[in-house]
Amino acid sequence: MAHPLDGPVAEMARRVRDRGDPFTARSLVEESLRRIEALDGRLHAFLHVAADLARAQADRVDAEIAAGRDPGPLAGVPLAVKDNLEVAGLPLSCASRILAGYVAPRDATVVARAVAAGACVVGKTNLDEFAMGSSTENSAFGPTRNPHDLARVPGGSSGGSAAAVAARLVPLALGSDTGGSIRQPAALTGIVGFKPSYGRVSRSGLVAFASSLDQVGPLARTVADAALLHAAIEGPDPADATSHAFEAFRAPAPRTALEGLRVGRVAEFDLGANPDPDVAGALARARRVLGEAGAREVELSIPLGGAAGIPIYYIVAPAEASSNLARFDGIRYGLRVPGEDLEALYAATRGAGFGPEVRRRILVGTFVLSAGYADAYYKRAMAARRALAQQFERAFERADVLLSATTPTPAFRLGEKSSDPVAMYVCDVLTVVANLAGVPAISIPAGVSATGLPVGVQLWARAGHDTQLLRIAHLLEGRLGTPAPIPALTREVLA
Amino acid sequence: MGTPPSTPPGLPIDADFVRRVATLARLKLEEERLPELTEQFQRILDLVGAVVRIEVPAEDGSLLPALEIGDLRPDEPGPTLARRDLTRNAPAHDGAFLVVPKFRGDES
Repeated sequence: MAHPLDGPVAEMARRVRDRGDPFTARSLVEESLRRIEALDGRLHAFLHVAADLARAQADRVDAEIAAGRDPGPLAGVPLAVKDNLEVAGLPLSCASRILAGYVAPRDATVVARAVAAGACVVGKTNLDEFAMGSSTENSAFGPTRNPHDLARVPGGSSGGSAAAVAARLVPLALGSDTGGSIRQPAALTGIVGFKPSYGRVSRSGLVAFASSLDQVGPLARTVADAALLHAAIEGPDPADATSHAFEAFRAPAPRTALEGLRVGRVAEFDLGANPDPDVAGALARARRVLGEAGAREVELSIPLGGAAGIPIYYIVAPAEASSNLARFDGIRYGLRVPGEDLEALYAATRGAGFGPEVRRRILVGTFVLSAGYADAYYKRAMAARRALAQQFERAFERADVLLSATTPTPAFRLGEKSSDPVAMYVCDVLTVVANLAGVPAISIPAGVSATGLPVGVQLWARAGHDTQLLRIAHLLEGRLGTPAPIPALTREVLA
Repeated sequence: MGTPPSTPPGLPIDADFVRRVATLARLKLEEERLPELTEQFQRILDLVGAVVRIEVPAEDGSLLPALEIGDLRPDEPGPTLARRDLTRNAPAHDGAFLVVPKFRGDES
């Protein structure tokens, strides 16, 4: 009989809240910690396991229930948190040596809201340093491995969160998505990853990478589970002026049934002349399933939505990163490398504290913002970004959602692309434009490859239509019938 | 924005150029890694240089729809982190202030 930790999140929380059921928040947390102990030595999904905190939070939940109070819709549910989000009293590293010894003084808004809904934080998960990467190989503390094949990457940058959910260590995790960092690892590990509209979820307490692109979202085994966590964390926050309620985007109400749904097929999202057969097959099947359910395919073009988005993204994101990461200078946080004067201290600390990919992006960002080059690169990229957003707006006049693959291929091997930054950047071709346009997008499992590697498909919607997108993704998930696969190594420890 | 140039800037990147950008970025680079970094920097600029071939409309000054912000919070003092919360994460402090290397000469 399956452990409740492997069932729907709503059911696990319901059982915890049911005073007549012997099942408790503490028992859920203990099972999660047992699995982490058994498997994380091979996965390296976690940078820090917060057993004491999780047990204390679980005991509070159980005490609330015993006192007749409702601890919330996530009562007792173990939650993993990407280590670029603050959890009060826990280390915050961003997988970087430059934040050595840093302990968060407060909770990120999303963490506070999840805990207020009853979730219990079991630990902080691995990531590409400062969320810059697509494989979690850029972590200063070593890579995370894909639970479906330990020789392969889990994707990135939220690879630790994705691996933890995919391996059934936790049912829910928080990630951040600046160019696909929730959706791409979700696809490569066979789970659900949702990037909300820009502004839908507070970024307060998220260490900024590219502030106009960053967004926090859930990773889960099912759309319903992801929606529960999203519902707990979303909404305006006075601590983040870019968060808002999206009233302006709510009309006209989009369709939320598959019958009659207009599904955009964007020419620029095409997989090319020689697509990966497993990815192409999964996408074709999703199209067929939607058609059989009464959806109507609409041919569209978003000229800047495909490969053209890569240069735009890799100018805008490094430009913002170079500015945001200027604060890590050896004075206020973590590492300090002595220098003969203040300038030498800054340069020595940053040179030693940042890893190769972060240094590359800071250099590129500094260059594209520098006098003499800003017009040719940064200002032009921002103008192109505005044009791209307008192209998305026009596309959503003709379609309720867009459908695409999430990644061009299933998970690649560790080390396969790590020495070639450009090859790694191109992996993001199907995800970065959602961040540039600020629209919500979700990756859901769509089967496995001939070699057993998960494949995902992605649905996109107009900014503000997050709830509707989740409903449609839930319906497609049910029709596809390809739930998150259970990795072989997880079967060893299932209760 | 006017007509885009027909070719990318085609910047010749060399190690000295990377050193100058690193100085602007306050990054000390290891000399032995400069050749590899220079080659990677060139390839990245070749990739992003394609942006000059993108036809874009004239600057209209508008924000991205998704970046329109909501109401700003009232401009009033509120709770902040305590000084000890800030200093305890600093690499050097004297309990009240962050300690930094001397950066001005003796003016006495």
